[in-house]
Amino acid sequence: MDFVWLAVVVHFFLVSGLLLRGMCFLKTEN
Amino acid sequence: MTTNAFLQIGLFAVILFACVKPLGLFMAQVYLGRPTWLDRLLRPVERLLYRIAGIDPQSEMTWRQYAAAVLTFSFVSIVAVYAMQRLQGWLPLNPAALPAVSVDSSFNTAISFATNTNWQGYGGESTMSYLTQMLALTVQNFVSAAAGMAVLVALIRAFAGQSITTLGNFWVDLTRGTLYILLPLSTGLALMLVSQGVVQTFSPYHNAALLEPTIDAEGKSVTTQTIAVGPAASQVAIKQLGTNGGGFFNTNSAHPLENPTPLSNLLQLVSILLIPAALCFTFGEMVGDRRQGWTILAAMSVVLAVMLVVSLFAEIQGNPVLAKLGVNQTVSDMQSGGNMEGKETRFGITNSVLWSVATTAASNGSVNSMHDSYTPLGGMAAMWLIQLGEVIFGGVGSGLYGMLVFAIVAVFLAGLMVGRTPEYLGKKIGAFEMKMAALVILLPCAMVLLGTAVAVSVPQGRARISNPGPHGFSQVLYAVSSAANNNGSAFAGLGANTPFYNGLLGLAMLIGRFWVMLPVLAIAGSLVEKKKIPSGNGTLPTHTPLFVVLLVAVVVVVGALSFFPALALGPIVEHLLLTSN
Repeated sequence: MDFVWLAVVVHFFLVSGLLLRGMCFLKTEN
Repeated sequence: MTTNAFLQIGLFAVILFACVKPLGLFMAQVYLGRPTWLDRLLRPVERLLYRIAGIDPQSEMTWRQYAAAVLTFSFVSIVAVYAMQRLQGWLPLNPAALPAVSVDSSFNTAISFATNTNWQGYGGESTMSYLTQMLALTVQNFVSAAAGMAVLVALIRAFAGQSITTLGNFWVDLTRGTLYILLPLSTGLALMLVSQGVVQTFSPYHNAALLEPTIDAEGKSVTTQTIAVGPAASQVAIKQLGTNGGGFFNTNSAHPLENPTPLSNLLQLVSILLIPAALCFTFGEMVGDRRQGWTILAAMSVVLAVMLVVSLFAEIQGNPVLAKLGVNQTVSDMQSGGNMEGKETRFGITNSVLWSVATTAASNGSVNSMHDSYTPLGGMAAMWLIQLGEVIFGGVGSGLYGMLVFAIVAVFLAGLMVGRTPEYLGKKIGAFEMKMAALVILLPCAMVLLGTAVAVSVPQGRARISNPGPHGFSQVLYAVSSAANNNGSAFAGLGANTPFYNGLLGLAMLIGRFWVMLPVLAIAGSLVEKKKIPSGNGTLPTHTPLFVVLLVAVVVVVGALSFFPALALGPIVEHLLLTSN
C-alpha cells in the first residue's frame, strides 16, 4: 500500500512539472 | 462586551503592531543580505551549511529554477516525513512504543506538514513518537514556513528589481529564513512557554492514580490516568510562529500542558500573527516604499477586525435554544457568559474568539477552543476567513503573496474602470499576470467547492459526519476549505482519519499550496523582467485609504461570490434554524 500512496505524491509532482512547463510556454507566447 | 474584553483585545493589538516595524525591518535585512546583529553567531553556521550542501550562495535563479527548487525540496520533504512515520516503530525516542502510522494517515500528515497546513487527522500523543514529532513534524514546521517566505521574497524582488531575469536563490532564502528568523524567534518563545509550564521532556508518559476512580464505557473500573508529556514547547513555539498550527497534543492549545496560563495564551496568540504582519513592513522596506506595506497591513487588519466583531457578537449572544430554556448566559462574576460550549473556562469568550479569528485569518490552524461548537455565525466567520484564500495575514509568506496577487487584481479592475493600463509599484500588469492571478485565486476556490461536493456525494464522505443536516455539511465544507487553503484547523466533529478523507484532503493541500506557488512565481518571473515606469497622473496610488477600500472590496467580493451558495447550505441555514421558532 505504501507504493500506492507514494505514487499519488510522485504523480502530483510530475503534473506540477508539466504545469510549470505550460506556464513557461504561456509566458513565452505573451 | 465587557471592559475586560476590550482590554484583552487592546493589549493583543498593541503588542502585535508594536512588533511589526522592528521585526519587519530585521527580516528585510535578512533577505536583502545586509548585516544583522546575529551575523557573528550565525554567519559561520550559514556558510557551513552551504558548504555541506554544495550551494553557491552567489548564484541566482530564474523563476523556473526557483519553482523547480521549491517543488524538489517539498517532494523530498513529503517522502522523508512519510518514511519516518512508517518506520517510527523501529526508530529511537519512542518510549510509548507507538507502532507505525497507517499508510493513508502518513500520506496525509506528510503532505500536511510539508505544505504548512498541519491538518491533523491523528491524535499526537497516541500516534507519533517523540522522534517523529521532532525530526519530521517540527523540522517541517520550520522549513515549510521558510519556503513560503522564500516564495514571497522572490515576488517582492520582482517588484523591486527591473530588467533582470533572476529572483534570488531559493536555497539561500530557505536557509536564511530558517536560521536568522524562525530559529531565534522560536527558541525565545519556547523558553518563555517552558517558563509558563509547557512541557519539554523526553520522559515517558506518566501514570497517575485517580483521586476519584471511575468506570469506562464497558463498565470496567478505571483507577489510573496516563498523562502524556514530551518535547512539546519546541514544537508549540514554531507551530505558532510559522503559522503551522499542528499541536503536540490532540486538543492543541486547549491542552493544559500545551497552553497552561493566560500569559502563554497571549504569547501564542501574538505569535500567530507576528510574522505575517511584520512581513508587510518587510515588503514595504524591500520595494523602497514603506507606505505600500502599511497599506496592505491596513487592509488585512480591517477585515480581521470586522470578522472579530461578528464572531464576538455571535458568541457573546449565546445559544438561542438555551436562552429559550431559561438558561442564564449573561456575563457575571461567576461565569464567562455567552456560548461556552467547547471553550476553556480559563480563556473565556474573548480569548477563544480572538484565537479562532486569528488562527483562521492567518492560515495557522491551531485552536484553543472547539470551532465545531461555535454558534453558526461564529463558525462561519472562521470558515469564511479561510475561504477568502488565507490572505488576511495568511500563512507566513503565503498570505502576503496571496494578498499581493489580489492587489494586482485590484489595480487591474481600477485600470478597467478609468480606462488606463494597470500598473502596480511601477510594473505594468499584462495579460499573462492576470491569467496567473486568476489561477491563484480560482484554483483553491474550485478545490474547496468540488472537494466538498465529492465528499457529500459519496458514502465514504458522509459516513463520518457526526451531525446530520446543515451542521454536518458545515463540517465537511470547513474541512475541505481548511485543507485547500492550507489552514489546518477543523470543525472537529468530522471523523476525518479515514482513507477517503486522508486522500481527498491530502490532494487538496497539495493543490492549494503548489498550484498557487507556481503561478505566483510565474508572475514574479514576468514582472522582474519589466522596466519600472515612473508614476504619472494616470497612476492609481496604491498607498492611500482608497486603495485599502478597493483591495478589501476585491477580496471580500471574490470570497462572497465564490462561497455564498455553499455557506447558505451550511452555517446560514443553521443560524436561521436555530433562531426560528
